[in-house]
Amino acid sequence: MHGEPDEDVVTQFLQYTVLGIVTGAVYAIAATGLVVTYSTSGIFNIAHGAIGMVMAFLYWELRINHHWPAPIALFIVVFVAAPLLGAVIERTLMRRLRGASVAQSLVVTVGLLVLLLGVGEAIWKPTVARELAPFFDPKKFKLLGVFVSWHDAITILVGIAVAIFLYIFLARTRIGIAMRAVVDDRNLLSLNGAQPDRVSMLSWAIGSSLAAIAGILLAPKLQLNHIVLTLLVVNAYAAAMVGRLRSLPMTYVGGLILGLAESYYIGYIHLTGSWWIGLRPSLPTIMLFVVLLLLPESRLRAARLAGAVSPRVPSRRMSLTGAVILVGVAAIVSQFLGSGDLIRVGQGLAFALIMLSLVPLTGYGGQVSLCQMTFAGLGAFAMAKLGVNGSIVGLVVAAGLAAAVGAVIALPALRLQGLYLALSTMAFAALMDYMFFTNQHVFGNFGTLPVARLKFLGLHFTGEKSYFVLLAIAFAGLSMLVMWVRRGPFGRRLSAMRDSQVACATIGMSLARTKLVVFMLSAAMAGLAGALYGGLKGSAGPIDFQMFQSLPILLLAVLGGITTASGALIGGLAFAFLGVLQAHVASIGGLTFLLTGLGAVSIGRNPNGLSFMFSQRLRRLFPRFSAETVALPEPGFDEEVERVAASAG
Amino acid sequence: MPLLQVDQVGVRFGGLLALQDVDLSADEGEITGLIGPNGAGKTTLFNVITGLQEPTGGHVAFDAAELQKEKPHERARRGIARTFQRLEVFGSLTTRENIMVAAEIRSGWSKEKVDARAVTDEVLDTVGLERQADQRVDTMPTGLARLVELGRALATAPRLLLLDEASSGLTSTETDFMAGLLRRLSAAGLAVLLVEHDIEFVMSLCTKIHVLDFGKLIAVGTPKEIQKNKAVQAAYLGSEGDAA
Repeated sequence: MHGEPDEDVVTQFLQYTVLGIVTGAVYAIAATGLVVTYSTSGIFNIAHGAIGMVMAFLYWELRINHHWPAPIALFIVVFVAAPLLGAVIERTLMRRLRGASVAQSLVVTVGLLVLLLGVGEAIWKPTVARELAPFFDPKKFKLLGVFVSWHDAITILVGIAVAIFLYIFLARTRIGIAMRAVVDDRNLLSLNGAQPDRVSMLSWAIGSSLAAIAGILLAPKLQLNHIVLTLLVVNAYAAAMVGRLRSLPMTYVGGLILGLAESYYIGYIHLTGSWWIGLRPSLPTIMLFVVLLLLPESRLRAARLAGAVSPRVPSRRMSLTGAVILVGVAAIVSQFLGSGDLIRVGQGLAFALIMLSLVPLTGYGGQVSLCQMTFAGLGAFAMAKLGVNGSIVGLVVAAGLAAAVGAVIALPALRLQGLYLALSTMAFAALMDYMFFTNQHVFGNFGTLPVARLKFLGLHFTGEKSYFVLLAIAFAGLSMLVMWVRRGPFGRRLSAMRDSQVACATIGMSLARTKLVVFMLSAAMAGLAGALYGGLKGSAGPIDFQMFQSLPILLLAVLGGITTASGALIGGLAFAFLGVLQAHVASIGGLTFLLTGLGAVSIGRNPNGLSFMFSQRLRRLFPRFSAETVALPEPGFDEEVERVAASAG
Repeated sequence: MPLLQVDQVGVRFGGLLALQDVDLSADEGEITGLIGPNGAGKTTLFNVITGLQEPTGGHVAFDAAELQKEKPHERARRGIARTFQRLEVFGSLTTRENIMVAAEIRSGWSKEKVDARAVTDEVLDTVGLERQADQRVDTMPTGLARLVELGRALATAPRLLLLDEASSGLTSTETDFMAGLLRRLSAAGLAVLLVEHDIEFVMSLCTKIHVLDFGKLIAVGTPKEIQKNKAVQAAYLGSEGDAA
């Protein structure tokens, strides 16, 4: 006990340290890419990992499938394809987001993620296994008694090279300095003769190259897998958070901490038991939450959002009429549909219910959640465990459990800007995928749990028809609740918060509390919806509620129109329809992702979505029924404000 | 002791000193002016007082209480209200809702009983926006939107009102209305701190004027004293020849 430490122990420690530094270097490269684009364009690129994923697959295509020499394939991917993709993304999507809200730019970047995932799955089918060997495999050398593979050595060297390159580029070159200035003041920069658009495009090109490098270095270590590589973004932003999404050196530190933590965890912590299996992949999420707790409160900034028009809230009578019509139509339709179709359309209603949970949160309050499916999963779990025989207790617990969990996730991010809340929810969804839904004690060993259908007040909703009508009733009822909230004091508060957080604070509103309440409300609704969804399917399993299901939920809710209940209905039915379509066109993998992603990036800036367009049409046809439409702001209001502001200085 | 006491406040943005050792005070029942050329630091000082900007040095005291640690909404609850140079209205809400939100928030935390509807009606009457009560604010011209912001501030029942460029974008009729309104409010005991470009407007309303230039306080005094002050003349002539 008192002698020199065993040499093997030292060597082993060094071995894990080297492996940790290697992983850390990849995370650092990915994370700096995020920071470079975020700090120069002000847009947080959730699709960063997806870009790395597509580029890693492209590299595989050239290197393995077409037998190109590695240097040429690398050059084409890292220095040609990736920067080109980044530049195209900036030119076609991100430039239009100038002055957009956090919610709008999140929707577009999530749309991009989903689109790239769809593209990746369409070109490289997930059903085929692909291998990407490490560089110079299996060559390794010995350093200080530790074996280091060439691939690992290259990874560390690339990490160092990227750091040196970025330092010289940002501190010493004219365009690099302009890059740092662009976010501070675009107009000032253009006055000084630099071109902000070009600077922004360059930053996206560089960011995209860094994502490609990270993807190519990581794929042989992990897996050449669409989802795994796309999720790299969560590790990357957990690391970038250490640098508060701004500081590159601290981002490197964050990457290293994460890499080392993972490596030491693998090396030294041998927790057995199913609950611990998911802990390692959850480390980034855990680190993210710890960092969030330590971050200082965000300064409120006066933000001028590019005019988002929200539809007028329907009156009590209008919403009651709509609710009655919906239930009536559902009752009639249920008589004519076969049981397969009842389930398919019923799924649409269930998805619509989950999307409805985003209306108060995102539509009214301007906050974004990327984990509504996770809440739905918690709801289904609660219903399965406590709603045996369809007891209403299951439904109540479903809502309560989701709300309670929602509060816990939201709390660390509440003091911060909306972006941090969204990132927390995505990290949380990933954590739940690893630690909860796939846990054998939750749904059984990759099996499913039976979920009962509701029995309430002597009414049994066990048949397909009656359950279909129940879903319509639930949607109608919750829609009325949401609209009632919107018409009342809390709804006014939410709209106020979306329009101007600064003004809210200066009239005495606690933004954190308002955000917490609406987040809990939204989580509770999603939990309830999940319990009903489980009942529809009759079971709940680990793959029903994955994080990647939450993304289309948000996107389709936005496409349908996230400010209205009718938008959620359109979105929900569209999601169910896409599922059916995918089943028919199985040859195109990722079709749902492709279409939702494409839709989101094309109209993601318009928060009113399709339902708004329909209601505008209807309004022209039937001017009497125009309650849910809105008076468009006089053109030029923003210009007027700008003019006045300019004249005032 | 004045209601608002700003003591040696400094703000630094990187290498730029936006405010340097600024002293300022505002009293109940009086309209105090804060003027200065563009970029002098007027809005920054408002941000410090309302807690939107953390100062690098100095103190802000309100009603003899140190505000250092308080968040913006806590300061608002003490009775500090403000408007913004660049409008920060709730564009998707109507005029009535803009004002009602403020009244409802107060009824949420205040120990006194606040009838939000009654307060809203009263404020609508005070700012003269009854006819526009049910109009969405993002469809209204700037002048009226400024009145909405003022109304919203008043609905918090403030003791100190910070107005950032209250008259900019207003027609001359609206400016006269605003001037009359501010006189009535201060006569009722409100402390008003006014940042203004319209020098005539300031001179006619204020009892005391502070002048900022490049982040430093260069003069304090009555309108007459300020008009004669050599440093003030130099500052204005140096930066924008047509002002003052």
